[in-house]
Amino acid sequence: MMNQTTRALSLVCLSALMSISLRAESPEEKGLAIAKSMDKQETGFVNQVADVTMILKNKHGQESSRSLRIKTLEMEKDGDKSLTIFDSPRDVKGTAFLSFTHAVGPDDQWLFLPALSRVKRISSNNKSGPFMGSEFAYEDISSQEVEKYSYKFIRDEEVLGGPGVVMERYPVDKKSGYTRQIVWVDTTHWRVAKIVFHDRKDKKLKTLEFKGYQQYPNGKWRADEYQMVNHQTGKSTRLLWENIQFGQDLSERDFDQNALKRAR
Amino acid sequence: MKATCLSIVLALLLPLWAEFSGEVGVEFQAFPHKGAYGQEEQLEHTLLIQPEYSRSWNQDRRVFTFIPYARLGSHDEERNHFDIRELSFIGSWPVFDLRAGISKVFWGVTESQHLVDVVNQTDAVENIDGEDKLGQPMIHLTWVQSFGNVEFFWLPYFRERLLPGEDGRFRGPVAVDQDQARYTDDREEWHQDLAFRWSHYVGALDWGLSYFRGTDRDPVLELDEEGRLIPVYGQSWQLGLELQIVYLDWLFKGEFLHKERESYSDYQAWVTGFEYTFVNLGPGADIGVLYEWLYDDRGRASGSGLDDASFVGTRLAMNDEASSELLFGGFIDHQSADVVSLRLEASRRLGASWKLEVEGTLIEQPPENSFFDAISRDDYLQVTLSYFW
Repeated sequence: MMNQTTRALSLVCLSALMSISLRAESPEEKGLAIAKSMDKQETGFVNQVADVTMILKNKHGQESSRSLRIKTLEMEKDGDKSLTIFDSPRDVKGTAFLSFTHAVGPDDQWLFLPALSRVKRISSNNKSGPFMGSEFAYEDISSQEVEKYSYKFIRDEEVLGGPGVVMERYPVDKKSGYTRQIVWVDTTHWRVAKIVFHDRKDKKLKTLEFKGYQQYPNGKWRADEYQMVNHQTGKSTRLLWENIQFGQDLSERDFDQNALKRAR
Repeated sequence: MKATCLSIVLALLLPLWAEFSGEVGVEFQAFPHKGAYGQEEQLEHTLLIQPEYSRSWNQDRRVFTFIPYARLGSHDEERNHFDIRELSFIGSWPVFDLRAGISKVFWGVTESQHLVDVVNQTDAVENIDGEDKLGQPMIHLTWVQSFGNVEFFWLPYFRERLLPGEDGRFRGPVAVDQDQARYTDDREEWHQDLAFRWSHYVGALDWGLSYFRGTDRDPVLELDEEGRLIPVYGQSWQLGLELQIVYLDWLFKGEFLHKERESYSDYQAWVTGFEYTFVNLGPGADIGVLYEWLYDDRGRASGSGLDDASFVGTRLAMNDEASSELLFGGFIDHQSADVVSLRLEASRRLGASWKLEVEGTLIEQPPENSFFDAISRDDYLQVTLSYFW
């Protein structure tokens, strides 16, 4: 997240927002301003570690779960770096996934396969594919950079019990599985409450809801449950976040190929 | 005294046991033909066990891992074996990582053959794919720099290749008498081997340049005075290069090897090719198409049967809850234009803790006097059911 630039841009946006009544701002400009406010709210988390339980539910209601640990490092002038380590199912224990996201251009991704002790560079082009057999696509869980979408303000609406907005965003990347996403955001803390995803044929595909927002000592808000429902298949996936911690003693060395090989 | 020691060891180990994860599996192998060299058995079922204890601390910058491994129940006594796959400590500091102990290192990018991967000895009684490795004692230092990782390996002890015995499949007419192994160097297993590697990436390109000097992992088989076939381990050095480029749904790969051996001629070999993935077909499934060209300038003398061959394959990943996967491929010899062999690998998870794997190899028309020619009656189908805890 471009700290300096974003901060400067956000100031511009803030003044833009304040001048709404004075100057006719287009829905696109207003949408972009919202995205920048959301990005600014995210800026400065430094790093984050968390334990995640993923609960997959098929259309017959049968559940299976996966557990993973996710570490994220905020980068000053680029997208975040993240390291995901799988603990279960047990047959994939120790498998780890390293991702360097970029605001512009493809992300860099590597996979560590413990059985062969092999680090494999993988293509990040398949962003619309399912993550670990879940209803989350890779693009849903990767860091959300402002540049990845174009935006449009739709309307004001109450969100998370306070003032909020509904906007649409359109993925810039043609490889995205979506034509548009409808996003509900509260305008006090810039938290996302809900996202409705429309597929390439502009048919409603999935709904993602963020539940149980809590504010952490560094001022950041985090939901402890993400619920994704696929309307076309009837399947759903819940992500339960636990032990979220910020400001750990982590550096880029904890997010390189050597860290990937050390993952257990 | 012994009993006391044992109970102390048990008292120390038992609380740790709960911390172990691991795999226990039953493997069934079926051979449609009797072996060409007197191996009568056409069915084999073995038990494999691989517990794992690992502990990480200090932000995962200190890691201790212990992975013993055993296979039991084979007709081939050489295949019943125990190994320590991993018993290592890794520490990470701002500019370097240090790994000490018994461990496993992989170098390479291609799928059909692992040409430059040299640090660990192949455990050839496990599988003919060469992907199972014996634990290698090492001190491994990785120096982390802006221009990539510079690695140094000190390999103080050599591991002899585990080869099939008298009652085992996947061997030539005469079983190798592994107890008679010979070395050209007086220090034998204690010859101190060294390796270096520089690896880095820029944008879409990843590379690794490696050097190894020490005991040749590939033994030369010779008949001794008493007519026994014995493995002879000579000295060697090699230079390896691995390259990979990611472009959209393409992966372009290459491994290049120059190897010099004591009393045998030098040679060059390479494996180069691509993998293209048709992504997100239907409900999230991917289909990959693989092509690799394998070349060895020793020609037929290499004995691999793949000295100038193509590997053509397809990989199906369902990306479903059960992680269902399938890989099917074959080698085609360029000189004869015949299919050398065909291979299938498929796997799927059953519930949360079980995994079913099916694997099969058919030997078709291999070049004469090659490895595949020697094992041409060892077509097999293998089913493994494993429990993970």
